[in-house]
Amino acid sequence: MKEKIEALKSLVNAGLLKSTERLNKVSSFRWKVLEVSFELSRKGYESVCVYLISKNYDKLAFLLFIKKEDANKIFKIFSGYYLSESPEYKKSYELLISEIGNIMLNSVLSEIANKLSKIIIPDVPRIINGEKRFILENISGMLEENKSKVPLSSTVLVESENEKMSIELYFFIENGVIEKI
Amino acid sequence: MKFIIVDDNSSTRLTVKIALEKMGHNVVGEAENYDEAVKVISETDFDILLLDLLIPGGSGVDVLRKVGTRNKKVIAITALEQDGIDKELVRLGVCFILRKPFSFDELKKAIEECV
Repeated sequence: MKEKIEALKSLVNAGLLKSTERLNKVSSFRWKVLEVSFELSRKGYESVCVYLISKNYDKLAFLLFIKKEDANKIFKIFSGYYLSESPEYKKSYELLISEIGNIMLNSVLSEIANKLSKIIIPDVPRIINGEKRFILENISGMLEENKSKVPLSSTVLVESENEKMSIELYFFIENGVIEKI
Repeated sequence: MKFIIVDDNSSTRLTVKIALEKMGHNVVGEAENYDEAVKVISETDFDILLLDLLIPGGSGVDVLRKVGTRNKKVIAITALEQDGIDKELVRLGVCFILRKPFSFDELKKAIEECV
């Protein structure tokens, strides 16, 4: 099982590297994978979370967390403005954050699907705001047979000229899936 | 050329529409979910379909399985990079798979590859 878990770590790392390469092509930020580990950080914070659950293969759930203030910074650097009072702001803000989540989470999902020789099409990414631990508990609770799922976390560093931000990713993957890797 | 854009996000559709119009093309139809996509593809005269794979109500793959390409060009747009999905898209008649995030030039190149 230890070997399988290391293989899973490599898949997550490979997926994130691909996604950060893609993001680096189109953004003025520098996106960099910092670490992949098997820890659920207990550190809570107000966050913006993008999550996706595979709809034809209900054994995986992927989540991306950005601290609220970091999400605001990312939006400001991308768009050039930060007008939280504007009605259009929320829409553009959620689109940007969910697209970043879509790209990163689907890259990892694709690596796992390729390794399993399966087609895994996820549901449309969803975005929610709230305290990280509360969201993690709730999403984790939504999954069936949660006890048999292995949580895996990763951190991606986002750097611009003057700012450093980190994005946390969590993956819940069923033991049975890990054994097939 | 006449385009249909299928994407669940109205801001993305608007951005892509502006890019296409800048290239001299026309957008003749839009859809944001599976049902709308099936309807607009079946009822609209178009040359190229830009099809996001992750849409509410079903996937882009489901849309193509339902209505086919109608002998038109189809560019699939996705952040997914799965061998199985790519093979299925090619089998269904997709002429180009455009990975997210993409630039104006990459969109232009995809269209050139298809026509």
